[in-house]
Amino acid sequence: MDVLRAGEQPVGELVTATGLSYSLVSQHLQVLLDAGVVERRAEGRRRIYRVEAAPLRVVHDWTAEYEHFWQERITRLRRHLDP
Amino acid sequence: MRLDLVLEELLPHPIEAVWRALTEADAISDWLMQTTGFQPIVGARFRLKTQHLSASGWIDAEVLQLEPPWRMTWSWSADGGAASTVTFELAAEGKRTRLRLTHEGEIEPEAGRIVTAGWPGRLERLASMIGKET
Repeated sequence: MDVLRAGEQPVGELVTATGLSYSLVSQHLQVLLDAGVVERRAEGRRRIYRVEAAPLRVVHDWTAEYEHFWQERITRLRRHLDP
Repeated sequence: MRLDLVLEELLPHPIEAVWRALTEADAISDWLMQTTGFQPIVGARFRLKTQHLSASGWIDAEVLQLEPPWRMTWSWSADGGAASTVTFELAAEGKRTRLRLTHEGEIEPEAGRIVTAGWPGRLERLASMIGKET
């Protein structure tokens, strides 16, 4: 994954970089593909792999943050009014 | 991201007291956030100091509407991002006051500024920004 994070790579480069066997790298990549962590594209006969960013995307829940914020401030408003 | 938040509370205080708490700078600094420049005048621009809601540490706001003692609307913007509005509406119920708070509109701070401000420990925000860039 560290190698892929630096940029997309063909399988051969991943084999060289990791020192693992071709079949082992292929197995790993298949697992990562199934999990949606990496994407694959074909370039001629080569298969190029890259990190799929979408699963890393976590939308920050501003609604929950603001709801919590305002509820807490209204509690403080009550305390302000009723010291 | 669009926010559409409504909270209602029944406060055991008369409407005048609640209105004062909403419209005096010292009171706002006490219960809401430390404020600079707040005046109960339409068009008054002011800032609210915040730890978590913006990267710069400030919310920029402006009084948009003022109808004592019923209604006040502020614009609300974090880090120069899109402005949302916060509306306080009061209704007397005997000696008590119903407060209705509405916060709606766009509230996403400008993503780039979160990076430059080095907001610590916010991995999910970082992940969200990485997602947008790709």
